[in-house]
Amino acid sequence: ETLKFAHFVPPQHTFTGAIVEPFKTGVEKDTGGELEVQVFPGGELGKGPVEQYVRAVSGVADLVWGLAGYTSSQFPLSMIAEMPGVVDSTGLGYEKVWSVYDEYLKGEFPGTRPIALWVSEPNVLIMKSKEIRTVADMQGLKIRVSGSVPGQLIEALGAIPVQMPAPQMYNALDTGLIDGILTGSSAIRDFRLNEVANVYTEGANLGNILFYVVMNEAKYQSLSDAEKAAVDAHSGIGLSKSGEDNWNAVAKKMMEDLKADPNKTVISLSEEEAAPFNEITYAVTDKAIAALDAQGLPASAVKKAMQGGM
Amino acid sequence: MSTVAIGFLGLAVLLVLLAIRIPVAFAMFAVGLGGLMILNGPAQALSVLSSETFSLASNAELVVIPLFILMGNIATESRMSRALYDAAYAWIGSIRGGLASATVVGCAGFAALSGSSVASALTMGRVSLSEMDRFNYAPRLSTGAVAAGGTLGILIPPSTGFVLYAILTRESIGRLFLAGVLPGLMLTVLFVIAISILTTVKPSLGPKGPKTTWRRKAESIVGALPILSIIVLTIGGIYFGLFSPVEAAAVGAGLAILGGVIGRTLTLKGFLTAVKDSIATTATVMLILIAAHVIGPFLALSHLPTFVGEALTNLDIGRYGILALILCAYLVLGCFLEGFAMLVLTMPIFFPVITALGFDPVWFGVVVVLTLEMGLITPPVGVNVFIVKSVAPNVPIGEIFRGVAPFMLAMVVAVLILTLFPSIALFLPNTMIGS
Amino acid sequence: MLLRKAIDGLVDLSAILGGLALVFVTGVILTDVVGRALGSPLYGVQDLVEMSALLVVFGGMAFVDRRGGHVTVDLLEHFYSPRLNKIFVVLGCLTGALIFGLIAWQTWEASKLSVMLNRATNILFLPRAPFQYGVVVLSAITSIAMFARGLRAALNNGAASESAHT
Ligand code: NA
Ligand code: NA
Repeated sequence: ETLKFAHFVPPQHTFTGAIVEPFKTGVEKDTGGELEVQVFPGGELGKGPVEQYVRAVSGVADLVWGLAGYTSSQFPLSMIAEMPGVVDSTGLGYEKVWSVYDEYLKGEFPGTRPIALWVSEPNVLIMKSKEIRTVADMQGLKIRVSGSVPGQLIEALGAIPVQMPAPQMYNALDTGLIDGILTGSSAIRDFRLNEVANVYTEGANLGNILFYVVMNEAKYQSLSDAEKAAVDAHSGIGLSKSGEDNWNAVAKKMMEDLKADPNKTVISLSEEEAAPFNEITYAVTDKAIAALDAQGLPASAVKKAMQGGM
Repeated sequence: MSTVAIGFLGLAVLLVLLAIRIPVAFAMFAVGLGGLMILNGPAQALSVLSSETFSLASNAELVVIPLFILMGNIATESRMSRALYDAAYAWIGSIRGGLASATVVGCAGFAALSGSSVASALTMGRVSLSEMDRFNYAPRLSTGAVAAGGTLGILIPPSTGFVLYAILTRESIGRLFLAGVLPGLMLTVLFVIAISILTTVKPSLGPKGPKTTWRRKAESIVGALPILSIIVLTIGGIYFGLFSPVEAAAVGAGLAILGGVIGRTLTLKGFLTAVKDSIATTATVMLILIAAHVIGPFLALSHLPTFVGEALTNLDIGRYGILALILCAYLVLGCFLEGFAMLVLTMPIFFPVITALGFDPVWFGVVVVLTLEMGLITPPVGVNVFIVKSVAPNVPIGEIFRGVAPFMLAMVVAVLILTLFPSIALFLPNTMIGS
Repeated sequence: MLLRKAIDGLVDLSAILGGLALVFVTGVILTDVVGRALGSPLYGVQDLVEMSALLVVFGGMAFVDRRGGHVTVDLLEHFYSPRLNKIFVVLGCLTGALIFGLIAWQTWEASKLSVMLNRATNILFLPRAPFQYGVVVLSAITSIAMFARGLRAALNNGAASESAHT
């Protein structure tokens, strides 16, 4: 039996060491090679992050990796993990997400079972040249965002949210089409942003990014008990922790490299400097939670449970 | 039967389907779908059909295709293309093949606007083919020049090919962009040389025009001013950060409409014809691109590219031998696969080998992109040739492939020169960014 | 004859829809570019463009087939007898009809999945299923039109009218 594990990044990406390798070697070892994990990187079975979940449900691949934020309408409650004031820089996003999964999030993952759920390092501001030290510095700047809540954050901070496909970020920053990008620092190297961005601001709570690896439920049910046990043993909280730890390590290294580079400016906001930012971003979280509550979703309860899971 | 054998069988079936005149897109769909059914199950294969269709047709970056076609069609309907070629003819029409050379240079200029070969070949084809026809240029020369010239789109920055290569190999996008500039210009010159040789050997391919007076030359430039300013504004807008290359396509179309309305050369009927033609060409081209993405997963599951790659790189034939084989593999695979799918499938195999052999990764990026471009014009599956065919439906495809052959040779020469003198690619990145 | 007129009408309607969508996309991007230069870009423009692009791409599918615009490799055309060429044309039409039929069916299935997964665009939350219904209808029209063309080619003597309309 083989499991087709598909994702959309090159094999050298953090994802391979953080998730693919531990899962593959663990499952294959436990089953004595009976259950083989075949990896299809770089979108070989279908490009990009957007359609990955659909590919798992329809069985094009057995396991896929995706970003909840690319299809946020599917994950209104799960996406609470991305909001400022929930995970931030705790490095415990995976624990928080798993702590509410069974009770609240399961319904957002129909047709699949979660293999790993983890949260990226905190988002930073990646700027072409503008130094962001205070909220006032952000007025009128064009910042690329990837989703609805990040868009609201940028708007609340007085800047202009701009939407564009990820591969265009490099050129857009280079030509000055946008002033900056809001995303995690682990993405800087993925898209070579360090070549065209000279100023980085970290320390404010600007949200995080939620990742999932899911497996087709029917495929899981078709496995023998021993194979199921092997999959179970190498997925869940343990694998998710590996994802989150690796992401945070890559992000930390990236920021250290940038700080060591004499041509780059890294602004690390102190608690006092970050406070005015956080005041605004937490208000956006509260507003987004209230909007979800108004739709009849238990958003407040999820947020509280995630925050309590520290 | 092994999966690799199924992969080879699929390619053989594709050839048969093409030979019996099944439209290219449907032949690729059929093979991709059939192969996926065998390797991945019928339900899974069918669902690839819907997911790839939807994600490609709703791709925010591929929107450049209809937009650039619209721009080209509006320029044609409002007689701006005609004015442009009148000007080109007045200036260099008296040289044999001059318009074809002008078209290639135009392609190089358009490459500064567009990151994709398909968009370049489409727009330039729409604008230039009927014009060259008007001046009695043989379709063989004009379609060949456009199909080949379009490939400059991905060599001269901005280039989606270099972005993908950089992301796959963790090389610098900036260095790759710079590295593409001189080879792109060199290839432009080689194309022009090829045109001169062709028209010297066979003057009827691109007949000489009459000598024109300076007065006529000046007048023609005035006539071409609207379209020239559109081109300058669109390219300028990208470099001054006013809009992205994708948006530039819409801006170009918008300016062409505006210019046509102000100059009273664009009628409502002309506008509607342009829109209608754009819709038709978009459908043709997008269907081929979608089909290429259905065949991609089939070949990935068959492990055929991995098989070919590993077979090649395990041979003991020296570093230039392996380089030559890898490039040949791209040429052969390029006969069946869309260029970007090929990069994704093969780069993990070839890249470590190439760097271990001591080749410069940025230089290799340029050579690979150039070779991928050759794959776009080689039979039987030459996407750029199909693109040109879609805007020149009356020219037999064999004629286009024949027309492309000399340019293909120019590209081989370019690869040889780059291999002998890697600094042509590396000079700009090393001086401007440092090594 | 009446049926053919009905099909032609549907093909024209599809093309008009595609044309409108193309003009809309151009307009939306231009508005965004100008708005951004003035400090207020059109928010969610990517969502609008992506969904309209579906109609641009699929609106022309039946239309281009009627024009005989689908690219074929005509290298060997002259080596085949007229009878064989006719068979191949019919075969091409039927393959196309089958594939567009499958696309319509599978997109219909995928639309159910979109409803189940509550899929919508990322900023404006435009629901995805209605656009998939659009693709279903446009693909079905293409499938029917191609099937009808194949049928006509099979019944007519002589070469099929590849470019009857323009
Ligand atoms: Na280019
Ligand atoms: Na080819």
